[in-house]
Amino acid sequence: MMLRYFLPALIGVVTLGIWEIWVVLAHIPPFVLPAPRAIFAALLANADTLFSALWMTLYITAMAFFWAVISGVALAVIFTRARMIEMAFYPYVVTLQVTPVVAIAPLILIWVGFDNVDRALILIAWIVAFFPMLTNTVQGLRATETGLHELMTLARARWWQRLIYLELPAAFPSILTGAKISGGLALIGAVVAEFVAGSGTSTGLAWRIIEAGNRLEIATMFAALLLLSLLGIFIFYALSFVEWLALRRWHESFQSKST
Amino acid sequence: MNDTLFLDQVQMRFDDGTTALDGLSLDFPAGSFTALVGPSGCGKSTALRLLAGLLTASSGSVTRPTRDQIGFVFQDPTLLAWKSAYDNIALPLKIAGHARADIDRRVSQVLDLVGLAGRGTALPRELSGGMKMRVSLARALASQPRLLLLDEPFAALDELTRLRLDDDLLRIWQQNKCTVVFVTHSISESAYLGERVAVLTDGGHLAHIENVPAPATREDFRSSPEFHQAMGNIAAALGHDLSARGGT
Repeated sequence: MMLRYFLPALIGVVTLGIWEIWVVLAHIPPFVLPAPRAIFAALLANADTLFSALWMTLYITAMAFFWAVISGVALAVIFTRARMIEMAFYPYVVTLQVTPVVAIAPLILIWVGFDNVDRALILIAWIVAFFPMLTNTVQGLRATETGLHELMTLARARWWQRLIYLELPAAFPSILTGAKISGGLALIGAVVAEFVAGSGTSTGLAWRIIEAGNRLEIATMFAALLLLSLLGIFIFYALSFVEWLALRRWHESFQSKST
Repeated sequence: MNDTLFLDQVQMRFDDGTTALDGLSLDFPAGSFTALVGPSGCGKSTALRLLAGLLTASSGSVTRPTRDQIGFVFQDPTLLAWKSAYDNIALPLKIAGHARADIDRRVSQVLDLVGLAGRGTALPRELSGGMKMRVSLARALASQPRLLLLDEPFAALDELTRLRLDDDLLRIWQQNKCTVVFVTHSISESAYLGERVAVLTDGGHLAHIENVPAPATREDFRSSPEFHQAMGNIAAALGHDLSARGGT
């Protein structure tokens, strides 16, 4: 069991060691590939700006994710209740999804970002994160057992009782699967949005990477990249933890581990 | 309160053009235990769903009590996996707007009745197949129904568990005196449970009604000549000759 943690840690340490030694022995200039110690030093030296950038990116990501969850679940509920609405709007939702967000981003920045860049960034990241929330929730709501639906019919449940007592809890595992995908995509969306916005007013990690690149401060660039990866890992494990908390008692996927 | 329930010249055609029932007439006297037996696809489940109001007949009429007086037990336990046995049983009562204390009283009463006293906090996955079916039965009984409908409820269980549940169901029926309609594809189960066994053949055609004499004791009923006579008659109505195969 400990091997699960030990093996990746070992790989990490060995890789960093080889990296460090190789950079020193081969005299690789720091603006091509900085040594791990230099990256760590850059992280400490720029801690102020990097961590406020991290906070900014986290904020954009979290807001985009929050709205993706709310709007994805809400729209899925509407779609599964009104077939006509689904037929009417689904193609446009798909259009929004398949159009590369980098291509729409400048437009959104002009329309929305003029007086409020944050809002534009959140909107762009939301477009990226929204779709898996919708499709997974729709699929979860549709997959509810027929017998359970008949049970609710016999109990003369109103539509909202059916939704609250049966459909949403039954769809919860699918919703969480959607959330895990969506959480990662929200971060990607936030980074893309920052790249496109690319101005001094936005101060997220992606912007720090561009800025450090322009100044050939490659160590700082790596430090920002490291924080970005850590943020992605944190989001994934936080959502996995929520999933474990919510489903461990009853869902099949956790049963072999708990019994 | 003591009305007989009827299916009167009921036809059921589905949208895809198949006809499940073609003019079935059958009555269910108050307090009676009727078993519906027949091969798969003969329309027995359709008849049950019509009685429950889950389906509406294409033509003909169905008299049935109001929804809150009907208890329905599905083929599968159909429990909410994330809710305890207690909460599963309480859910229909909660939806119907019963007071908390009333729900409490009824749920512990039916848990007792189906032999699951003290297991209310268990989640479905912590219960065996037979126990899940007991929870499902308890849920149907919790609303104190006048009409209890069961759709091959014990078919997926092992033989021993099934025999035990059959006896428990009879005991509950004798206590509650509600009208019971029990759908099964097992000839022996239908003859054992039903006071009356309605035999359906393909197309929902009523082939025969067997009145099974009430046994003096349940213990010996399965070895009694009356039981085997009833089984033979039911099998014959289904087009099988049990005696020719030396009995089953």
